[in-house]
Amino acid sequence: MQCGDGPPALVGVEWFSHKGVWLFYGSLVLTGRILLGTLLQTEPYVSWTIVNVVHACITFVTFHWIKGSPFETMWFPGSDRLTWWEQLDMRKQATPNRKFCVAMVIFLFLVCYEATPLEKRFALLHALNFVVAVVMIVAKLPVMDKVRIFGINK
Amino acid sequence: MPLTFVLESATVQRWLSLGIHFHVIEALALVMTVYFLIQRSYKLQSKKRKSSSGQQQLQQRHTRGRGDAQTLSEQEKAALIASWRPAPLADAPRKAEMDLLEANRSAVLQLSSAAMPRCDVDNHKNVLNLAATNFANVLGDVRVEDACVRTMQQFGLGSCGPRGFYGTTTEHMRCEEVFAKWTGAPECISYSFGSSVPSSVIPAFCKRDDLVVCEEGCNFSIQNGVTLSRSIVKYFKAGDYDELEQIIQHVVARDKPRARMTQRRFVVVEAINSTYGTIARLDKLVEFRNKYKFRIMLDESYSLGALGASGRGLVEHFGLQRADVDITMADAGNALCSVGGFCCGEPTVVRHQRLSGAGYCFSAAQPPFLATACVEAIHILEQEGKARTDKLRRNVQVFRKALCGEFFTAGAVKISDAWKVDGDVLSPLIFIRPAEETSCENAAALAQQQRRLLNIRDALLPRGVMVAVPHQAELYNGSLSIPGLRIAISAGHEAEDLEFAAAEVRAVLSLHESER
Repeated sequence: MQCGDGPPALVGVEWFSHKGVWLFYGSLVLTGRILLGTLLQTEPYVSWTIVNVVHACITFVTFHWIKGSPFETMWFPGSDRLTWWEQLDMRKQATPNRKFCVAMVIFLFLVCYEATPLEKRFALLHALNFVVAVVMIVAKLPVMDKVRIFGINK
Repeated sequence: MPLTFVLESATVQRWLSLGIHFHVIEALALVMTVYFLIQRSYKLQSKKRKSSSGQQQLQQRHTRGRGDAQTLSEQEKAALIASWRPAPLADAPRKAEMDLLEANRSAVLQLSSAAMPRCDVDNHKNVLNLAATNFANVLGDVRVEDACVRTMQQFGLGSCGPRGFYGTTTEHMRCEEVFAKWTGAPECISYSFGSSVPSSVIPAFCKRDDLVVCEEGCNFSIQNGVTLSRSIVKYFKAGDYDELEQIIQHVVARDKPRARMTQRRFVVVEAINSTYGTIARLDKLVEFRNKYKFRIMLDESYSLGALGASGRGLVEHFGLQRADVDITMADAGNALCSVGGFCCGEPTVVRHQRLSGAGYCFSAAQPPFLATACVEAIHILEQEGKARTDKLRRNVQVFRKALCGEFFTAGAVKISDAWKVDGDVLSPLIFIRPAEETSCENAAALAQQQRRLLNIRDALLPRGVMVAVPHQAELYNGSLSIPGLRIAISAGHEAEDLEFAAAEVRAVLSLHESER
């Protein structure tokens, strides 16, 4: 009751806990899908696959590749060596934010899978969607915390 | 039915007609999602810490370090240590501030008797004491001393622990109870020192983004508390309730209708202003409070034992209820002639402080006999409060009349070309200040003024009158009030003594008329 506000939160990640960010995230993905469908007139399965792959690329780079924070992190000296995903929610695991991100990946995979006809000529698309989903989910697992496979991005 | 409508829609029909493998994958995805969702959040354990013991880990860190750890030789270490110059913890005070500090420090008087209405100071014997705020003349009362001795024999000097940590004795609890009953509040909390009350109570309730409207010239402790609270602070001129209303109106006007109020608002005033001696208009404050919705914090330090028909303070003076004031604070060092402080109000207000009042939680409790002294002083005021406050009011009138002449009822009066008297007619605190508005925005001018006033005080001593010159401290907000002579009238003074003192004060003031 007497104490102040404590050290400032990590500015680079704490915005994800703000009100309406999930909604914004979801609508961003949906907007991408709708724009593809209306402007480029692509087939639904193509649009969803593009959305899935682009989403995976963007989140892989921003969540799992770039380390540190664009802002001053004097209160959290170790965070320079951590990716955005590792810094999220003060490094707590299985938080609502993390669950939401995982659910988003699974949802995108499912939509792609169901939108793409189950025919031999689309096998490559199915494989692509599956690999993308697996990579994104594995990258988000707690086991992968601070793990840099083969020293990549160390 | 809406359900059939949904079931017959094209999307749902298409979904239902999908092959069974789709639904299997769906189910798998669902299971996976549920698996992630039902997990409880947890903190990661450090992998390294688990595998190696602390000592090994330390060694590892030492040898491997953060990549570029270097080992220093003894000489290098010594050279590094020798070259280190500690930076000063704070800037050195400016010369003017040092002057002010020096002026105050060099002017300390030493009492060689109790601070009774007549006392011995340094080598001046039997001086009329107009410096002590012993309004109800409780000081030195035999009943108080006897009770204190009894308590001391029973409790000694107390445990020297904070109230929540072995410091509380039955005397403290009795003292709180008696004080609450006397002031008419439901509950009361006692602090070990009067100055720590406002500086603890204000930060306990006002937080960042809250609003505190404060009277100018309120005591150092209030200003300290206001600063510590990190609230938004606005000052209004002492006694200028139109300005107060303007400030509050300005704030209230920006409120969104029907929006939930998250800002706590307080008006902090002293019952008798400790710089100007004005009496707070509690009736107006309560009217504003009901109109604009804020809370009143009232510092009754100088009004208890001085105002009201039976000395119960400002609330009694205006014929209001104690409940009209949300938080009442008081210093036991004035009329109660003890050491300590009180804060009383609703039980929730008081109980909040038992964990959040910094001065309550972290200071050693007052020695039990000082609590007894408060209890006895209150008993005396309960029995003889009426007689004593009547005497005090008569004394104030006599002194003011002798000092200010026939216009004494006007409150602030100019008594000569160079001097004016501040304060309310009923206030037992009387301030004499230079009449012309000298600017005291810097410490240098202040130190000069302070020296001048101290000279006057020293000139009064051989004439048998002791007055006080309150110290001025430069506060964080930089507001400085013009220093003045403070005269505190007591019920223990005699009318002819006061007339004599007023004549002496006038005489010395006229001698220092032209001096700048």
